[in-house]
Amino acid sequence: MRKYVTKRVLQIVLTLYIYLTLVFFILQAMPGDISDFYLSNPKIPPAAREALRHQLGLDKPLFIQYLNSVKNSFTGNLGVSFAEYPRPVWDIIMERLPRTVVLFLSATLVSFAIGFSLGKTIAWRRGAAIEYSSTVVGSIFFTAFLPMFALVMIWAFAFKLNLFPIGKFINPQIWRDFSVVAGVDCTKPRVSCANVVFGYMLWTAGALLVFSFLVYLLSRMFPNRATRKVINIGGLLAVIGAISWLLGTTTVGYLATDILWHLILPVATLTLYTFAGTMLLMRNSMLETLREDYVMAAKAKGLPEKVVRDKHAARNALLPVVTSFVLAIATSVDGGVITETLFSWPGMGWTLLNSTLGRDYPLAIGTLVFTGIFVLVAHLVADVLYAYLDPRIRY
Amino acid sequence: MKLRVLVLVTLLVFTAGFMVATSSSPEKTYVTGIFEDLKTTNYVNYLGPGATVWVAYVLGNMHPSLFSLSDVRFDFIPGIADVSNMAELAEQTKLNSEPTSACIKPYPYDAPKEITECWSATIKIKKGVLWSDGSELLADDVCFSYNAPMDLDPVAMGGNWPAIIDPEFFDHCQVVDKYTVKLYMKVMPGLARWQYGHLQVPILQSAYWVDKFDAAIAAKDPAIVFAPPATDEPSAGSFVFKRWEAGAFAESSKNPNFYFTGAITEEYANGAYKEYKPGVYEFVGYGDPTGDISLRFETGPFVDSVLYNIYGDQATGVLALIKGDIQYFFHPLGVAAGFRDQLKAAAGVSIVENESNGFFYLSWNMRRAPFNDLAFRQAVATLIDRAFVTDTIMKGVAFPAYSVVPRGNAYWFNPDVPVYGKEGLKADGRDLTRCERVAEAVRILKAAGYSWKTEPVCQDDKLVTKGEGLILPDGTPMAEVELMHPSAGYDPIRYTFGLWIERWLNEVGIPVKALPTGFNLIVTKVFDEQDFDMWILGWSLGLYPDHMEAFFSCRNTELGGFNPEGYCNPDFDKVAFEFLAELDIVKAKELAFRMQEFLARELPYVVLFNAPLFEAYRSDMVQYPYTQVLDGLQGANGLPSLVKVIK
Repeated sequence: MRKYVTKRVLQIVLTLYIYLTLVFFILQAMPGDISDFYLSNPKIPPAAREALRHQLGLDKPLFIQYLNSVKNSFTGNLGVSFAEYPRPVWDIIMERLPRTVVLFLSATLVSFAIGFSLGKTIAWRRGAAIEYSSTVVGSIFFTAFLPMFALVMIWAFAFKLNLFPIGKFINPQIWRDFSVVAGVDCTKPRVSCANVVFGYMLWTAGALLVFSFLVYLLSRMFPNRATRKVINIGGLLAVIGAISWLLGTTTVGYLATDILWHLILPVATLTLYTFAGTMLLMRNSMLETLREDYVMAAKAKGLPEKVVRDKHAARNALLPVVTSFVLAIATSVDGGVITETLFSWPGMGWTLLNSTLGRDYPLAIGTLVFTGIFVLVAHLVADVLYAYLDPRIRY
Repeated sequence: MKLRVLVLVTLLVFTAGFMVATSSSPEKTYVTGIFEDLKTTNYVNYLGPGATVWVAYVLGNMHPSLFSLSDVRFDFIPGIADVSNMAELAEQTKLNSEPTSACIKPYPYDAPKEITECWSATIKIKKGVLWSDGSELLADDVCFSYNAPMDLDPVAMGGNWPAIIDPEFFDHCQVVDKYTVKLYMKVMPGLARWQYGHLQVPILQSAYWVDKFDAAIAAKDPAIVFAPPATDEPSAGSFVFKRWEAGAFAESSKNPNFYFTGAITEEYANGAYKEYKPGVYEFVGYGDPTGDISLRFETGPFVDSVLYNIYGDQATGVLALIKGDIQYFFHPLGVAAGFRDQLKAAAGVSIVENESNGFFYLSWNMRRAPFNDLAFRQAVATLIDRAFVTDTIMKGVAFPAYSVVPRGNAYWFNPDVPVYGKEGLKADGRDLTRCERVAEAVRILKAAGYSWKTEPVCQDDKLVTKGEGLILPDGTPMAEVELMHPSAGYDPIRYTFGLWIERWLNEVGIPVKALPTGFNLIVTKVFDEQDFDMWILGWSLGLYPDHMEAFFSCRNTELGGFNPEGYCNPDFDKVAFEFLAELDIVKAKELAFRMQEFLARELPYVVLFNAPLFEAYRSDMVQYPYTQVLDGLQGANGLPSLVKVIK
């Protein structure tokens, strides 16, 4: 295994280098550069354009620019944004990342939860009405044109029914009343209080997840089913209580509620758009598993249907879904250009779009490299996880 | 099951509680929308590399200048300059000759060159103009605002700085006393660089900026002054920057010390202008302020703050406006055509239509044949039926244009330029028919020595024989040329023009191939490489029409210059340079008219069309003193110091 991981890490470094090279030259292949915007004002002399090109290093030979870019990427210094000169690229990525992670991680989790659950059910009840209806509805959403679908969702639920906000991730009318959040002065330059709250949300979610897992482990220590149930319910109530207390009594909680409020519609849109993929993957995998002898044996033993389905079949059918899930989690850091733009959710996708259109090479390369590393590492994690989940697999 | 119900109920309780708790703030807020995040909050950076129209909407109301332009009519009027009538205005803006020694101030970046002239103007500033931090705006601040960028080098600072303070002209500013400054110019500037240029430099607070500029000057690195966010910068304008939540919103709050709050402005039908604040100051100019008043308003701000919501695209902005989440949204191109009907039908929403200060054009590489032949250019211009595309094909979303000064810029617009294929050739003023255009183009070309393998024949408004094989006067057949124009996705109007121009020219045997091309590629090929035959693009312009010199003078034909078409006519240059040097606005207008005539006849550009600017706002929630103005409300940064929130 160690040999395999070492080999994969070396492959990742090589792949990253090739990826970096491709990204650099594809971006450079676009005509012109950021100094072209000086051409919009005839009062700006050509010398000023040259000065800008010099300042940004665009007057250097392409190969030197390439070497600088590769060096920056491998040393973790992603350089300075051209469009937001002289702001460091890292600074911008760190500003946008939490927003994207919260949105796409939520959407991925909800989508996989629904997709997994539905896929398992429709495979078990093959030929029933639920299989046809879920497949048809899921396929319709899966093949929808996302920009139009997102706009329809906004129009229906935010505009016509007035149930949710029209885009954005916070309500300025609420946030402007808070100049200090969790001890952080929001009026200070380059301080994003939304990011403070996003940070709290992520940490809280992580802590509650760990807590829930510990409760689950605790319950497993008791052989009595009734005791397990009591522990699980107690744990759930504790989680609900903690969330209620945080949201209801603290400023951060109040502002987090606003973010959650804005989160519902984009998450619902992404979930509807993507759950069918997981559902069909799980369905197909489950159908394969249901043909296995051990499932037949479990049924023959007279085990309850739920136990056969959830513990014997579904767990073994989980493998491709887990791989897909890990990769989806990793790709969630690159956000989505369309979703972020239509829901006015300025994350990594929006940043990538604007930096590419604005020919802000360092920011575009930085964004792509950052997400590229995530995806490459996720592939490695998926491979390792594969071996862990299925003891038959050995590298 | 019970657990699920419990979770659901908890969520619903929170949702309901949150909706109840969400209530609007009692203070008056002008809630607007913008469609791009701020690149910077640093005012010096905003005038430099961080210049975007979106930053301008937010920061544009922060700093006054010595002089400025009036609302709607754009008369040249005093800002913080202490001027009460036209005589004083003329006196203070008059440039007096000085000995050259008074001007010599070597700058680190300025190659030593002989200074042969020196001019100065002494300007007084109003007393009692306060910064938002309570300190008084003094001559020190004014001179700092001129001298610091000069010491750092406006060209190296980039962006709009070289246009704001032109080191070719400006020398230095000298503090005469607390309320008087003396501006020195090393070259006599014309109106463009004086009244419409150096006299409108934004005034920065010296105390706030001096250390930052000093550090940047010492290191010869403008990035040092661009880097600080400068959100705490004091303002002497109507608003002070308050807060930026990146990606979500920006907010400005009103400046409690704004000097002009309570000032009354009156614009008279006879052209007179009067601005006064009882007991504080008064300015009267441009005639006798009597008779009908065409515009009267009081300066605020009447709102406590301006909120700039950041949206990802116009579709959500439109929905937010209709829903009442915002009262107005900024967009330099106005409301997209697809949303106009929806907005017109929405209750409480008003649409305003204004002229925009720009134009779209066809141009060619005049270094190559046959574009270097005036007859050829005139024939092509004759063949292009602008009104057919704008009115018949595009159903009136644009209107034909014929001059390089847009008609919306009324003072400088010459309505009587010669037009090939329109009024200039027909006594009754109607447009030529297709056959008349073909006949006229053939006549012009034949007279210039062109011939055809197959000459086009047009009868009864129908092309009977398509022209083929145009032969140039030197006997060589014309090779196929390429016409680059933006794609339909980028701009459907320019795309349509490209297709129709290709068709009309091909009909008479001019072999043109229209190529929908990416905007950036057109810019690179035209401006950076000068490797092109023909192209279609557009310009957005400033108020003073000195762009004519930039676009068409011989000195700008080099690579990267603004005259990539290579038009070079010493006669035109003579008029253009006279125009640049002219200090009398009436004489400047005459010269501008002559330049427009010149260009309409010589046709380095065939001006094609312009599009009106449509904007929408919640008329049931806000009131503006006026909505009819060149470049619309967005051109006036949404009028934050004049708008009143009524709901």
